[in-house]
Amino acid sequence: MLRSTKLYLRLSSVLCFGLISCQLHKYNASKKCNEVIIDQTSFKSILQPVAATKYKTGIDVLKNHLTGIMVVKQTDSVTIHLVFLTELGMKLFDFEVKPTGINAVYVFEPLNKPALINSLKRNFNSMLMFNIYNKQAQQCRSRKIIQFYSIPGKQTRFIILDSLGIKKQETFNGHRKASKIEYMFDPKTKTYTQIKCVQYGIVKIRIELNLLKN
Amino acid sequence: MLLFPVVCFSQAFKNVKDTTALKLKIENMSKATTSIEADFTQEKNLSMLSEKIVSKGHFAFKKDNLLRWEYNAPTKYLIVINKEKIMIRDEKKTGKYDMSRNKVFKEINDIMIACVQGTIFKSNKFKTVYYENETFYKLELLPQTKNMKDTFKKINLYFDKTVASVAKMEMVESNDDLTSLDFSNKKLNAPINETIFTVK
Repeated sequence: MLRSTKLYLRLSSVLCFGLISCQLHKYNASKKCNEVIIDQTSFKSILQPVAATKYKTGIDVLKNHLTGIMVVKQTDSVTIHLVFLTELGMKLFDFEVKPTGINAVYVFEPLNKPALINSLKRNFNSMLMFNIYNKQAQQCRSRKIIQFYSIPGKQTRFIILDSLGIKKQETFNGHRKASKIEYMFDPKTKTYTQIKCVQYGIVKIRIELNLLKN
Repeated sequence: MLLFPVVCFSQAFKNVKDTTALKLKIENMSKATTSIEADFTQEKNLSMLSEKIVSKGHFAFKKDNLLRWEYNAPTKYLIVINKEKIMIRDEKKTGKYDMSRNKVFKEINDIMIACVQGTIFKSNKFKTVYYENETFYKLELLPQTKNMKDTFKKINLYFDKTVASVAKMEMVESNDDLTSLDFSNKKLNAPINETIFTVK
């Protein structure tokens, strides 16, 4: 019995290692890269510069399922606000995005847990591509992916593009996948109509943004 | 003609002289009301947005503690409160919760029911100031507890002068962002089938 358990654990470890390696391998398979600085021409930006963008939003964290409307609006030349309202009109949080980072201006008290708020800030920062411009990156092609950007940092961030714009983002802590973000682009309206994010690890978070028509 | 209600709500309000009589009227209204059904229009005014976020739906209330709050636009969303149970359904998920185990839901439920019935002025979580103009009574509810103060600057409840039911509700946040609820097509004390309040 003990022997079979050990065998099972060994096989699982090998399988896990194999799967993780595969996830990273697609970025490394015969890749050819150029050093670049990401700018406005690198890919179609997520947000409209002036107008407010509204998303029907769902956030699943721990055992909570929060839904409502997220309003994203540039309020001055360097500030963007992200306000999440429940259907009842109750504000759950208001984040202020500046070139220096994201601050929580208001958080509904029962949600005000530092680990949760930091995770939300990090995920929204990645999903909506705040403060991405002027970052140094490698613009690459590999045997498996036509075009992607690789951005080094605490977590390695990969931004995968297709002919329309951003298709997917993945971040890795070493070899372990930390998050995955998928984008749906509508060529008719030239907007990203859906953005889905999954954060892996101990605190799992799922966020789904669906663009609301103005 | 369309501007009439807006003009009435914004007419200058002055303090009510006989607050005891008004409280009695509201209590009598609350006692006499066994059910309410109405359409509602919710408007969210955010200081950073020039346009309002408008939602529409229908609500039903039946004494003592049955409430159905249904949003139809811009998205589908349903809250049903059946005594100690609460069900929330959006376009993807249905969640059921036990109110006694969740302080947040209990708090929201207490406010919603008390606002719908007009009895919120009895709560020790708020200090009430009474105003009136030619068309409406306005109860300004000022939060007294820390949690409430963090969430609301004040809640305004408007009653028509006959004090038959709540005509409008406004929730003002600390930065003056405002959520207003206007009720229309009201039916008071009409029979409501309790199956619409089923939590399953």
